[in-house]
Amino acid sequence: MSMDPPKVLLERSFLDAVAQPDHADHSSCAALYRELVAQFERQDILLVAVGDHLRSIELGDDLTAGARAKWFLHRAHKGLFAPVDALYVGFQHRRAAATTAATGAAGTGTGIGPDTTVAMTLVMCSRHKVRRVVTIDPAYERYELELVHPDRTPE
Amino acid sequence: MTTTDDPTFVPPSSRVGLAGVVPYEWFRPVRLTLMWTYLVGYLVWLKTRGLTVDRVSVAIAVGIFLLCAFVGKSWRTWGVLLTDCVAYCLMWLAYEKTRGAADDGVSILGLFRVKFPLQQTIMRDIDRAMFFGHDPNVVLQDHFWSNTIRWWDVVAGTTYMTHFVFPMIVMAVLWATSHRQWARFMKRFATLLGVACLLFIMLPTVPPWMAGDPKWHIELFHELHRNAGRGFYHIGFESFRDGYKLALSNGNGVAAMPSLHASFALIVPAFFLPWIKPRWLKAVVLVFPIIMLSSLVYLAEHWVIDGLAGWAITGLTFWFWNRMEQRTRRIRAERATAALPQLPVTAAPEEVSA
Repeated sequence: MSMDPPKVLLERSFLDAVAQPDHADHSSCAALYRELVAQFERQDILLVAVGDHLRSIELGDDLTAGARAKWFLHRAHKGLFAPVDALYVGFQHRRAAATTAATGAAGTGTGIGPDTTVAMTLVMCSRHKVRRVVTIDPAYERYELELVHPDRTPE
Repeated sequence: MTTTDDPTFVPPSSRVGLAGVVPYEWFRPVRLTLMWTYLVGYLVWLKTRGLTVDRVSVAIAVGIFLLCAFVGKSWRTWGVLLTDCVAYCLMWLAYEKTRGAADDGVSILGLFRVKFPLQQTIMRDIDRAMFFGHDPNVVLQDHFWSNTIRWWDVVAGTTYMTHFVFPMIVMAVLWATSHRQWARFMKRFATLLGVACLLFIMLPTVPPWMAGDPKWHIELFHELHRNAGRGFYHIGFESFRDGYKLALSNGNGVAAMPSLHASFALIVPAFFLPWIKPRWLKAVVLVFPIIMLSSLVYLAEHWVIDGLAGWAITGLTFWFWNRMEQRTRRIRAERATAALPQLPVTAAPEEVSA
């Protein structure tokens, strides 16, 4: 039994959709995010995201080592994803994700390709006991996770 | 496809479990084994060497537990733990230093010393006013204290001694299980300590045992017995007394207002109260601080008002931090919604956490 409210992981594809106004799923994802934030404020849930994914969206991929270290040591809770806590990625998580991706790439039926985004998300879900994932990526539908899908705005 | 008004979960069915995809974390059974071994070792130590009560020994015990609980965790987690430990040690050092200044006063920039008058009768007068002219300490000792150790001596002595380990065990367990909850607990605990230290300096107070001891020439009433540990000693904790005497010798006799024994006995149940659902169990849990305060009064360690003040400060600490945490959540939520484009507000959504 956890003493914390249930963690809800905002997956990379969902973060992208919320952060990019020109994304096809932006409206529906933003609406769902607004609801999740309201639930966070009521302390019904905790919002988390994989640290690497959150950092990439908040600061971009072209970071100096100093900026990366600063974010790693102390992430300011500001802006769009202020309510979201980062699940920091360690060497052991990277190794586990690489193994997971390699196993998937070897065709063992896990459905994970050589891209480590899905693998890393699964590793962090496993290590941090997260079962609820908000995503628009259909790749997660084959795993035992409680998926929250936003509505897609009709074209 | 679901809607934003009704976010639903795709129920797990025959899909691939995470355990079948993600490599097993081999450090987890190692941690569990180490923690169980530690628990057994602690109990053996408790039986053969006694309860560790001085701050240094307790800190070492907590440190060993944390080593066991954090084996195999990431470097960042270890860094956070190290920072936490430094803050934890600084908190206790500040407490010991400040408590020691209760009767010496405080030096202001080395220029002059502010020393507050020793309160000899005011707490006793408040107690007498609350109890219709009776001294609760005197009444309890006159009725219940005897050379023979009875069951209530064991209860009072054991309850008194829990003060030295109970909050630290809670801290260690929270440290190992949820850093978020540990931080919430420590904010309240450190605030309580800080306010108590301020009052120790500003309101040095003669405790009941001192008020009746002819050696101190106060003699508000006849001499009271002071042997808080005898009930605990009676049930077989042989070597505990040395540590206890040593701990007391490092303390300060007039750092009595508010009672940290009473405060610590309340802060732990009060912290866990939201997770306890049955009302009867909440009531049972809250009996513990009442037993603690009764024990303190019976053992002549504190006035009743010391304990009530301790409870009041504990309550205020919770009120303050609950509001602060609510404010932090609100600010973060406002930052997020301010950064979002204005979208039509949907009808009351179904709880994601339902």
